[in-house]
Amino acid sequence: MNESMDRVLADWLREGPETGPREGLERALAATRRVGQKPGWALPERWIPMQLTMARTPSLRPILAIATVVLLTLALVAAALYIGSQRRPLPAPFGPARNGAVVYSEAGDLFIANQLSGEARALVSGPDTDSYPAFANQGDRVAFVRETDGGFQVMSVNPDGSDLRSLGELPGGLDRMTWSPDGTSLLVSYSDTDYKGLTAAVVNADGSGLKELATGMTTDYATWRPDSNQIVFRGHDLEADTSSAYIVDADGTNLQRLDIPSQGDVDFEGMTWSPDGKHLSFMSAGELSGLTGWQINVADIGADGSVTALHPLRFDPDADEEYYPSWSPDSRQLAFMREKDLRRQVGIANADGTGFRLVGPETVTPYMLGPTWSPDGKTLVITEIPDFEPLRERQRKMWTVNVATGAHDEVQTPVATWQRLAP
Amino acid sequence: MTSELVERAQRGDHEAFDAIASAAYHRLYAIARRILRDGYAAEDAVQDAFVKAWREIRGLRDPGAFDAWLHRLLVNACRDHARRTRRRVIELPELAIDREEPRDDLAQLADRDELERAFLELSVEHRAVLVLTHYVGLPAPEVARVLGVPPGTVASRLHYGARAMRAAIGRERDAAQPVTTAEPGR
Repeated sequence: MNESMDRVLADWLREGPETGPREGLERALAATRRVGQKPGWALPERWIPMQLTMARTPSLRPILAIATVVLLTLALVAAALYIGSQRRPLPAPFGPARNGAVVYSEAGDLFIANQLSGEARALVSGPDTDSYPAFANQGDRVAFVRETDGGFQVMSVNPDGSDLRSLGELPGGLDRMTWSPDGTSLLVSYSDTDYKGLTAAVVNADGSGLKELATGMTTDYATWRPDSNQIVFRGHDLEADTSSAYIVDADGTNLQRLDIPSQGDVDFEGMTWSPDGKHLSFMSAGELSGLTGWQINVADIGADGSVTALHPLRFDPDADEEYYPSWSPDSRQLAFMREKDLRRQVGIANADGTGFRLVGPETVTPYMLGPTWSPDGKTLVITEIPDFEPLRERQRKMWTVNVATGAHDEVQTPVATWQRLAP
Repeated sequence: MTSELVERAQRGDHEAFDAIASAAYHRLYAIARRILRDGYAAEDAVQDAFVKAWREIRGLRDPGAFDAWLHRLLVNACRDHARRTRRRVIELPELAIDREEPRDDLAQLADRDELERAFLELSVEHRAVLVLTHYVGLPAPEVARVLGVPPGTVASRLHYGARAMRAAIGRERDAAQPVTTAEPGR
């Protein structure tokens, strides 16, 4: 059926003009002559590692400097021995935690950084393309996807760069990847080669294998329910030609449809659990409340997977659209993108729809990543994706926002995933 | 597109940029025309993309990525244009997506008006994936690079874009007929 539509669509798209009006080109060229060029990236940090661009500190006198270095080295060795002898406590897998390092990908390598200072070092580097890093909820392991000539591999590594291992070959291109609550496995969604939708699989974190989540449907937005063995996804039953949200145990049993009305599968996207596992947010295209544009909905989900209440939300009545909801670590607030007259800004509100306020910078850039909470819930990271080359994380513009005050600062360190540490 | 022209444009050579823009114009217009389904809107979108390309070309580190970058600028311009004009149709019958539809030849029989209306119900992101794949002929990894999304997401949008069009055409036909074939509770 979709194959048939693909053919019809391709034929139909080939119809129509192949050329634009000559005067259109002339107008466009004239318009470019009325504007100047922006300078290249002014900050050297955009181009070369930040460590090389940091200001030098005044040097000490040689003997004093050497003595200081020796003492510091001894102190560091002692501290490392002490820390190494202590088993670092792991945080609970959900809820507020202490902020750790951040990991991001750049030019096919992974880097680990201190988000505040910007100091970064390579975590994984080499000829392969490594991307989509994701910290385990316990903060003790980083998963990522390695693209090689032979395909895609799910990989993992310790935050110190040790114990790099392959967890299995991914049968297609990645869509999303999330860790299981207990950190023993990963849930991956990938595309097949025939564009027939997405498939989900559970990958064992010890490298012992990958098992497809057999639901009989395509599985989009597959994501693990916190503190449970359940997975929620948007499924499309290819045989019945129906689509809905479903919840299923990680072993593929107890499949049930979630009673969430949706008017169309394209306009029902981005399901995300609150960290306490009680609420599921998703975006829909307005029909649930008669509004235009994307809106955010929150469904209350019982332990058995039943929908106990559905809340279509419009936090700002004047907004054109609200999208990309992101739960605070304590599950009490949502941060999201709020758009009005093509201007985008982050909104924060209580999950019940009250307490709306705008924070951070306003931007007109078409693409913004959804806001990311720091593990302690005190900071939001906002990322603007410029129209520059994709995949170059350092060319993105980023800000941190103080959740309490709403004040923001531009920062240089990308945040693809943030390490959670025990308080 | 030669990297030499891009590098000259990065140094402020407007003649070089004119050459780049002239070579790309018809291709970009045809893409925008198919995404937006409107000739005037397509002209505006291409102009917006060119203006932005000229303003910001100095920030492009890899001249070899110019084509992908220009495509992204164009899709962004189309997206903004569509949002400004709010052409998106949202008056859809409730839960129509879940009804059983005759599946054999619905797509084959769809006329151009039906295709047009169904296509305009899609988001620009979905339209862009369909146009870049089925019209431009870009492979999924390249579409992913242009749009800045994972390759799996491209596949998902292709699949659901085509399916949503089928559903929209089915709804339109159902709405035109007083008797529906939907089963209660489905």
